[in-house]
Amino acid sequence: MDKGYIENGFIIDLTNTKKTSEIIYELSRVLEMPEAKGKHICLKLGSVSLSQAELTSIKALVELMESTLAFISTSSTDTLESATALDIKISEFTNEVEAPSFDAVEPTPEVSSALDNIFGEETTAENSEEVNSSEVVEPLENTDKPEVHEIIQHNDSAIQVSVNKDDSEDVVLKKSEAEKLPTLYLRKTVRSGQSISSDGNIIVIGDVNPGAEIIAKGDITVWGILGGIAHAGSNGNEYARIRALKLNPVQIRIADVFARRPDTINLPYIQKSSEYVPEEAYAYKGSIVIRKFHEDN
Amino acid sequence: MTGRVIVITSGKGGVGKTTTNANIGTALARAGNKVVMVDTDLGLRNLDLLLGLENRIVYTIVDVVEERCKLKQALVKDKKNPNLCLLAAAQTRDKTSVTEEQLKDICNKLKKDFDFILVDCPAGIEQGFQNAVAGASEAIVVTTPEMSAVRDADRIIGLLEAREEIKSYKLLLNRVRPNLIKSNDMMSVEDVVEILSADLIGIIPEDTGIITSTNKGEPIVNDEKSLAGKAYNNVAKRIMGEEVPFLDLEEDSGVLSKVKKFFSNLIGKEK
Repeated sequence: MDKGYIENGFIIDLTNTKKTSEIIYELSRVLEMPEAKGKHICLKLGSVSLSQAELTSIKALVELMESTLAFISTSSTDTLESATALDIKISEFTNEVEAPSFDAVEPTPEVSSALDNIFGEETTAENSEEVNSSEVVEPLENTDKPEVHEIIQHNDSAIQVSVNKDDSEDVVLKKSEAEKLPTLYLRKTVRSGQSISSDGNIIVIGDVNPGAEIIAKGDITVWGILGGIAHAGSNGNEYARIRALKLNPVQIRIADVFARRPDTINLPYIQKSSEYVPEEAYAYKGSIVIRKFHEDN
Repeated sequence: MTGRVIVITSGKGGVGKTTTNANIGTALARAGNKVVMVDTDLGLRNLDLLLGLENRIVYTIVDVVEERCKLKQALVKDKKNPNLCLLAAAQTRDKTSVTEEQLKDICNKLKKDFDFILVDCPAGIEQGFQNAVAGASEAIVVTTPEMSAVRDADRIIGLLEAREEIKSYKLLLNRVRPNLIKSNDMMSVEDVVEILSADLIGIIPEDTGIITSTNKGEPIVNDEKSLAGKAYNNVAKRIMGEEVPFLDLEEDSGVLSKVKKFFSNLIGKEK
């Protein structure tokens, strides 16, 4: 193996990634930066096994972003073989070279599911227990509330939240509580500065814009984009749910469980699209979980 | 004669309320309407500057309210257009010097003699805003394609909807830069309209001519060549009930941009 030396280039450390889709996502994120254009890229790939086809895709991605793939380093023998077959240079990095590290960011579910479709579900052993492939889970970042944190640490996964079928049956039984409550029906855009609260359920036909808040003892349903603050089950009913055609809330609260929008997707306004999949948020083990209603669900 | 009272408001400052007011007012007057502009931004008046009338102000709206002069005496006639008048704000007073009732009363009196009463609203949602909106029955909400301005416009629309006397409100998108929209660095017109779910009355492109026209005290609608001037003229026509298509703001009309446009349309359709 050659010793890594590159001119006009930099090293991208992807050793923390576990899946091909994560590599692709991280890589595209880094390569999008204008500084990456026209540079030689060295990849530290870690333990992920990559087939020839996947490695070709990664190379193509680098070239698509107007950079060139100089060489890679890997600890996986499969990747090593693929790289040799593709005539990609392999190198060991020495610690003398300071590699810029990028915080791994969890790709949005749309991105990861799209990438998974391309590259196949390649969850590693630890991950496959946590992720239920039949339901796409879009986790929200949990805030620094101590009790929330504890539970997260206990689960040992701050970002991925699992959903078990058995538990959801339990949830279905209890949700009928909300059905007994009266419902406030609104057909308007709820705008910044407006606050709507109800002792029952709230249905909004229209958007809830950022800066608005909706508080209900029961469920909240928004037939539009939910961009403000939503608090369902405000009297402590943790089986309350929040549904919208697109959930983009600044904060979601269900009973005492609290989550805020991750900083990585911190866009107050999002584009309307005909391709939205309705989403539902509910509390599960002290976290807020968002699931999408796909046709197959 | 019963005139239409239109308040021009935005919530956020610096998005172009006063510029819009001066230009729409001038354009409406040029089209033969009798127009009066009422500056309610007490303590921070600007409208007189934009019209180049600062040196002619003798009485202000506060003098009218405190009965130091008659309403007609306080109206300053425009230099060029005899159809255009200004009721200036007092610079030495603050928003509490006039009440909602007093402003409503002034608007009702002006309605008898003018076709259009354009009320220039101060920034913010406090007393100044409440005063300005009090006499109006229509509103134009000025915003720019920025998150902060859109957020504030949303708040303002909410407040306008809560007021029964406001029968209709329209959205005016100011300082639009087509190049930035094309490169995805600015919210597009469609995005803003969808977010605010309000009808659009005009799209005004960013124009450096506005700066010189403001400094000269000469509204840009008087400049036939200016794109922003044309856009403001179109807004005036729409206020008068004409149907005018929105301007094509594409700056370069070379072959290359047409080819690009063609392809982007093509790709857009495939989606």
